[in-house]
Amino acid sequence: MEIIWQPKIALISFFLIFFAIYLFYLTGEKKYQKRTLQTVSYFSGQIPPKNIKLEGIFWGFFKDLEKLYRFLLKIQKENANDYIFFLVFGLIIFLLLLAF
Amino acid sequence: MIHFIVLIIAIPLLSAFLLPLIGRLNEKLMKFWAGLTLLLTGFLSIFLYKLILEKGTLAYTLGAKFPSLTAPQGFPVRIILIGDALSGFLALFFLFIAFLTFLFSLKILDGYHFLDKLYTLYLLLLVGVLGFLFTGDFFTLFVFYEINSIATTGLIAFFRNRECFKSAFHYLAVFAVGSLLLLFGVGLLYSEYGFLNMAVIGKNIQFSFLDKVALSFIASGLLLKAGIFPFYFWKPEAYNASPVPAVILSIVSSLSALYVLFRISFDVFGLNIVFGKILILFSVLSIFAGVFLALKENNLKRILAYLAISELGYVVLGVSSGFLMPNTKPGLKAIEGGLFHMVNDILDVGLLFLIAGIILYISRIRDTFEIRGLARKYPILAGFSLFGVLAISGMPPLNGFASKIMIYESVFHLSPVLTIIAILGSILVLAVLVKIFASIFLGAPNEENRDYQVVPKVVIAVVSILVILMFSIGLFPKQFVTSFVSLAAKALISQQNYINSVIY
Repeated sequence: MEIIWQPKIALISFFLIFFAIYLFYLTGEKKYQKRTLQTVSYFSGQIPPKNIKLEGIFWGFFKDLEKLYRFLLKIQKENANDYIFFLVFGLIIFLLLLAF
Repeated sequence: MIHFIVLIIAIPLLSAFLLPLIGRLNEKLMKFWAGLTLLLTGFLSIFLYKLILEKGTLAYTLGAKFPSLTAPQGFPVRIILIGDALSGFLALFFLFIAFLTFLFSLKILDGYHFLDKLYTLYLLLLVGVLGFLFTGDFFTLFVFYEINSIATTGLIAFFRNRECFKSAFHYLAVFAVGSLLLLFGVGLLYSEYGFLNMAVIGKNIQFSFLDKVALSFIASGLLLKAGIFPFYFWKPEAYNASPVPAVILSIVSSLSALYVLFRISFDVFGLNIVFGKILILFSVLSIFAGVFLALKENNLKRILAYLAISELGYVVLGVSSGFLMPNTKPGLKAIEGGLFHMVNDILDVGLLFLIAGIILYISRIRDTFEIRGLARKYPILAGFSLFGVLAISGMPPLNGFASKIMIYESVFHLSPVLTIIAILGSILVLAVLVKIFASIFLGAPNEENRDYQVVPKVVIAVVSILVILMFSIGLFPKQFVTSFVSLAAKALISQQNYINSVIY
């Protein structure tokens, strides 16, 4: 950690990066008009369709791991019987691997 | 001076029972009393930690002026409390967090009914946590486990709606079985050795078949309290139903259960390779199950509950890797990394829960994706939450990075695959948090945002203290590790020192 992490160098680097970002920010358009289309979120040149939401950001990930998710959500059903089942399941793993 | 160790448990315990009476007289006085109790206990923990650093491990025999008078067989046959550099440091730190959370709750929960009962349960849960840290015998451990579980059940039901009662009942049912498992394990040890004292059992342990069965039962009970795979199922439901201050103390309670597990693994049962491997397996599965489920979830408190499970996985991964590399430099570093991550876990997850509490307070909306564009109206809150997001994902220069890099580096010596898994888990944590940060704070604000309330200044001050602490630990991790964590890790692994502190 000592070699990778030097707080002083990190601090100086962060200040330099923030300064560079600030310089970049200063080059921005200052004459924009508030409460016009100029301040509305820009989505590929079109008005964003309402059915596209941020929660779909990892859609491909969920699609790819559909089977795993089906299993994970199936066992997480907020049922006291399931909770106790998994408690006993964990105990059995301990007993099988440790004691026997 | 030595009485500090018992006073740290006794003062909040007695104060908790006085709170409902004081609450009947005056609510402000009741809150003042609760705050005073926390402050006093916090100061006592500072003195205790100082005393431990001066004199080494302390053993306190309850009700005996001279412990030797109660020791016909060479050790005191009484309730014994043991304080060392690890338990002393954790008590100090947990009390600091409990006090900050209490200040936070004063504003966030202002106006709710039954606050006297909330603070009574809050102090009782704290008693359970402190009991876990200092207990030196198995039966007292079981008693504090029960106190812990009952207080948490009450806190889950605080909002008194259908969802909360259901969650509280589920919690009670599962922990009734969990405490039975713990009691059964303790009973097995008592039947074999005739003692309940941890140090005495540690000295005589044979690691026979019966001992292994006892360890399985005790570990299951403690891992249930900690909420590690496959015992984590109660967590999202319980955290979602509880008020945020109670959630923070529940996380502290989970960490204290892990402390007990590590303590008995090292100092009572001695290092066992198979046990260490099982814990590593559970920790890896916790990391993945936590983040995978958090990615799919839409409720803010549930997302954070899953992330809390994942972060606990890192703690267990670090310390249990130390089991498999005994008496080596990477082994010690892994243990230090795991213990360091305990501190960072409560800071990072705690900060995000506090911010979630603020968001719920100002918006009254639980679905993350219904809240948008808060950064325009609450830029400071957005900045703090960015700190939390970066810290929990292990990004420099924040505290999460400092402990995670120690875990990655040391676990690499055991198996590079584990390091890759741990890094992958952190990347997924960042993915989860980018999603919720972008959703809540970025983008165009909702029309309803106009009605959102102002964030109280006390609440911002509490969050600021946490952020400053996270930033300081992140910038100067070496100093923090040398001053606190290394001493704690050495206290954990020195079994002989622990045993000698009790046996004459």
